[in-house]
Amino acid sequence: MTAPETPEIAAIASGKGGVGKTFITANVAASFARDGKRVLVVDCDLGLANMDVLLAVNPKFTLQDVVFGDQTVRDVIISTKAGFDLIPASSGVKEMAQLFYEKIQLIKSMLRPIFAEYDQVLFDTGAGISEVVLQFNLFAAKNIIVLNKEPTSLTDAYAVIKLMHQRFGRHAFGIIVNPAKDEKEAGRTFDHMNAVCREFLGLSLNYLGYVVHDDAVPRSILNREILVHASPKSRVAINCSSIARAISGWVL
Amino acid sequence: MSASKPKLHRDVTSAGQSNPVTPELQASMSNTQHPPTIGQILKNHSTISAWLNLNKAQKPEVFILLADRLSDAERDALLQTTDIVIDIHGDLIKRLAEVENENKHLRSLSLIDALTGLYNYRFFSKQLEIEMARTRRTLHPCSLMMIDLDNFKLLNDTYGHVEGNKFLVKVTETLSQKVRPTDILCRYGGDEFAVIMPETGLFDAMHIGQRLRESVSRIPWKLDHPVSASIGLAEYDPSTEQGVSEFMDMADRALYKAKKSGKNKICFEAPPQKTVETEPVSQMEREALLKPNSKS
Repeated sequence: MTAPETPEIAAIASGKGGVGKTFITANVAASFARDGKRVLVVDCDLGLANMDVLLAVNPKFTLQDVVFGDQTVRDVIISTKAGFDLIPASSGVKEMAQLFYEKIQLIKSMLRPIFAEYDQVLFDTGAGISEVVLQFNLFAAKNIIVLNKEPTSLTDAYAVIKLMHQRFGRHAFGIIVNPAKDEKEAGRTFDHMNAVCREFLGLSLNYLGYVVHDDAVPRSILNREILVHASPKSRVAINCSSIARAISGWVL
Repeated sequence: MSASKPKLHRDVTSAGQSNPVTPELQASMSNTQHPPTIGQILKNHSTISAWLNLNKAQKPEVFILLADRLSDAERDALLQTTDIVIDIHGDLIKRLAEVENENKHLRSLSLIDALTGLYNYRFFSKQLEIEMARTRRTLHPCSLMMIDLDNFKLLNDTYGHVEGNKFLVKVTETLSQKVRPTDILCRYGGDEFAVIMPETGLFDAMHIGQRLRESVSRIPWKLDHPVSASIGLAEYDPSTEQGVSEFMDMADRALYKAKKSGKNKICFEAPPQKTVETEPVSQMEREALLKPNSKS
């Protein structure tokens, strides 16, 4: 039996940086919100946070002020124009990137009661496999990995999956391919990763969708817009909606 | 129980089987060739409290109990008598020992600390077990707080145990006012308190701990060093499969950290991480990943 108020918590990781984790988190969160869900995004990239930059918000307080200062989590939550709430983190704070295990437990315990007020919680976890990244991935019930066909993306994504599996016994991973030329190419990238995970780890991955390669994506980031809102009829927006539905429909 | 004279007279004369009398008492009895009279024993042990302190074993207490209940008149009368003889194998002493053992057992069944009126250690460990089981079932959080007074020994040594106890009662009152109705405040022993905090994660527990620590440091006292509290905190994580003693150890370690890092502090401890050997990505895995995957 689980606590009745436990919401859906999904962590989005990638291993390698620069594969569009933050973009996907924001746009999938916006898609959830458009479907009428109460959504909270937690910027878990404690060392190099940038969700606030993407959303063009200027947070007065961040997660750091809760951990080291007097702010409560509620003081830190901001609502964004994208329709979801955000717990921002601060960039360039070394202590935050190298939080001790104990401190991470503390953050988890203060976040937990807040989560009860949401239908869907998304963690934008940092790149790499630091303790902070692993612990936030462990905190979430659903582990989502963003990858693409680039060799470095594949090996880094695989390293995260292997570590989460061996160290924490995780066996359910959802895959988002970003970007891909089309659905076929995305499927091939997924099949390839899935085959390697099956062979070496005995794991079957869950395909959650892809985001088509589109110049509108970097443009939206430059303009600090949420593409799902700016061009709701675009293929990218449709991709993000179907990813959101796949996450909801993914039964562990 | 009342040790009335007639009964005493009757019982001491009958013989019993076992020997509930300690070597010390026996030694004092064998000072005389014959079994000593009660008068002789009372005379030899006029400072009865000293005798009690010397012997913490349970059997001498039987005798103390007897002597303690005597009024001065009764005592004087007993000192006059020469015909009441204590038989060290006597039934009376055996029975008194039994009664005293029973009293001890009953005291041990009590769940309330006599000095402070708080729940005692016995209740604490039972309740903690229950709350941990609840957390395993509901996955609702549960935290444990250990509170230890700083400089309490100094206070005790300087002003004596009576004043020390008074202070403990004062601390109890303060803590009782500051915990929430759902918190379970217990006296763990000595100057150590424990609070079981159901439905409470580490973060909320920190806030309560802060409140308690501040309130204790504000208790007025005459020592040069203010008396303060060090606090150790831990949240139970059912996935670790920790038992009661391991969970308590965790809070204890946190308390030790607080003490060691300068007292009047709150520290917390997270469950030990499972150390699992993880293999790095192997050459074979790399090759498989990097194999050209464009079959199209």
